[in-house]
Amino acid sequence: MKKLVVLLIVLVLFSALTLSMKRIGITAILEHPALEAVRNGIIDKLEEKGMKKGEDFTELYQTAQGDMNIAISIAKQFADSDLDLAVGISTPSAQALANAINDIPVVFSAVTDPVSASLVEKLGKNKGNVAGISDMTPVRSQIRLMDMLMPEADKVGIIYNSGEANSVSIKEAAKRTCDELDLELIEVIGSNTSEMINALNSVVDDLDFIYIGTDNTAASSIEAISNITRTAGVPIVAGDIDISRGGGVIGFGFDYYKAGLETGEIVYKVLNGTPVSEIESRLINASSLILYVDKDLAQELGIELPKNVLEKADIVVENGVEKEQE
Amino acid sequence: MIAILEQGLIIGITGLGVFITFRILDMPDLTVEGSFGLGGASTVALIVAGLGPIAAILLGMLFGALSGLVTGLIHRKLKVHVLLAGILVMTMLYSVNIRVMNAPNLPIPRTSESTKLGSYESITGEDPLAGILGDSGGDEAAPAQEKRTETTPSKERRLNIFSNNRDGSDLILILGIIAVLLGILFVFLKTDLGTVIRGFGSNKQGVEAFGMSMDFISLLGLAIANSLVALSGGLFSMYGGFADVTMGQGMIVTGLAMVMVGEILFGRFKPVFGLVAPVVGGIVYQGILALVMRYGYKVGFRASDMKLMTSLFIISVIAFSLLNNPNKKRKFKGKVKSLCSNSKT
Repeated sequence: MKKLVVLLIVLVLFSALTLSMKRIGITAILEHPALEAVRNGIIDKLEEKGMKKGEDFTELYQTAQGDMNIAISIAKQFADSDLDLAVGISTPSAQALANAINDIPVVFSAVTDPVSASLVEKLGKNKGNVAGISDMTPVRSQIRLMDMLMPEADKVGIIYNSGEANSVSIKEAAKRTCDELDLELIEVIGSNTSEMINALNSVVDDLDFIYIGTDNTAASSIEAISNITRTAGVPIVAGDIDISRGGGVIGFGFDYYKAGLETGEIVYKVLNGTPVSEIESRLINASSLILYVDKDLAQELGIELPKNVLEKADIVVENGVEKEQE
Repeated sequence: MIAILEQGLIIGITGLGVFITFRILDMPDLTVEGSFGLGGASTVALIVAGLGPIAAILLGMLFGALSGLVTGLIHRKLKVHVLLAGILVMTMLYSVNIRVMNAPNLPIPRTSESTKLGSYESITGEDPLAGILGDSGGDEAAPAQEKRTETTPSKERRLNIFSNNRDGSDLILILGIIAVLLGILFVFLKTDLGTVIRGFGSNKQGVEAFGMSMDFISLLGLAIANSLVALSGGLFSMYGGFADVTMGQGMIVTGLAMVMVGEILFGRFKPVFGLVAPVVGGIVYQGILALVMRYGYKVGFRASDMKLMTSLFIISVIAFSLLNNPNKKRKFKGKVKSLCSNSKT
């Protein structure tokens, strides 16, 4: 009899444990370091908040390999998987989830314009089951900074893939800024790496500096891009720290891991009972912005970096060594 | 489970289009990669512009048919090989689709007021580098949220033929569409014109004996096939909730795989009844995809291996059919049909 009672108690405890275990589905459109960093940030934030993976929550993670058919399959599969919450990293993944799922919360991350992607009606609190973090990058500040360092510049090239929704939003912002600053914006467009390199080769000599936002195609061909621009003596300013590491003089953008931490905060709140309608969809915090400066490259290209820029910088590359400042 | 059926059936319509060009007409048409996206892009763009979903999808089919016509004209009138003609049109369509959507990605509006965001600085109202650049306030040039200039869809307006309720109503709708399609095609292929089209694949010159021009039959076949593919793309966009310029990528191989799965299950090429095979093939393909995604990682399989596996699958089907057919001398004519004729022995 005693054994039976013990067994029962164990069973009840066990079922209580599995019942209280939250099931999270995370999906991204590609296997990409930035998107992976977001995912790691989410998980780390949950662990930091005291939820243990495998005990308090389980994670179902799938990437769509850039294939929309797979992205939609994953979303439909998540809808049938009895999840407590689904996270869509990148625009198409989040769109597919938001469309397929209406009974559990959907959190998006790394979506530049969630409003034109029809995920939420506006930033801030919204009705419905969707909320998240936009990775809209401060394009105007990035271009203004470069303009300040190179006051005589008047032709700016922007390298992007017109097939990426995020990059098109960024290009529009860049166009506005350039109009404001009386700069001429020259679009260097490629739908893949080789087209991009060809396009760049044909105009690079006319450019005074180059702006790259968070474009994935440009990110994957940054080595080739930086070879061309260094030979031509044209500096790059980027809205992404990883792109800057590949060949930018200045980078000012988000650390995607931190974006993941902020997304994780939302995920944690929703899992613990905050209704999605009480969650504000917003931009990444300004405190997650990182200023990256490559002194070596600046010197090579003859750009003088003022003291206040160097002081403000979070990461400085000097004599080939990358140093983090406070 | 229902989702696999639904998505498989929608993709299966592309299989049907591929079946018509590759098998019935014996014209390997690669326009599919572009016309699938064109169907999706134009359907969603028309819905955003204020058209009803059914009218939008029918117009999308029309655009698909036009893209097939362009391929046909390049092929027949300029004497360009049909493979190259298809590649040219599919490449053109990449740019066209971005123009049609005026963006690389266009969602079916889910929110009643469609707007788009301004810039980072206009939303936060401050410059994150103000310390360096001097405070210039927010970005005055851009409003924090822009209203779309297109007609604002009202809340009552039905924007999507699918409900996404997972109650099976979408499945019934798709089954209905497929039944109507198969019915129309079935009747059409039984008519005189349909008979000529069926004969076209095996004896291209023969159609002239019927007083039909080869140009006409090629163009008609390509138009029908690509209108089906565009329909598939349009339904797919509604089902997924958005159109994306990359959505057609790899559809030709997927379509071919569906046709071959169907043939393995149903045996090869009874032109009229054979129409069911690619649709069933679509369901099986989608089922395999779902299994691979769900359990594949346990055997070290990644989703990125799927394209490799699909192509290997097609090659092995062709290889097996050759092995099973020792009497037939292997003659490579550059045509898939001759390579993968399934044995009935």
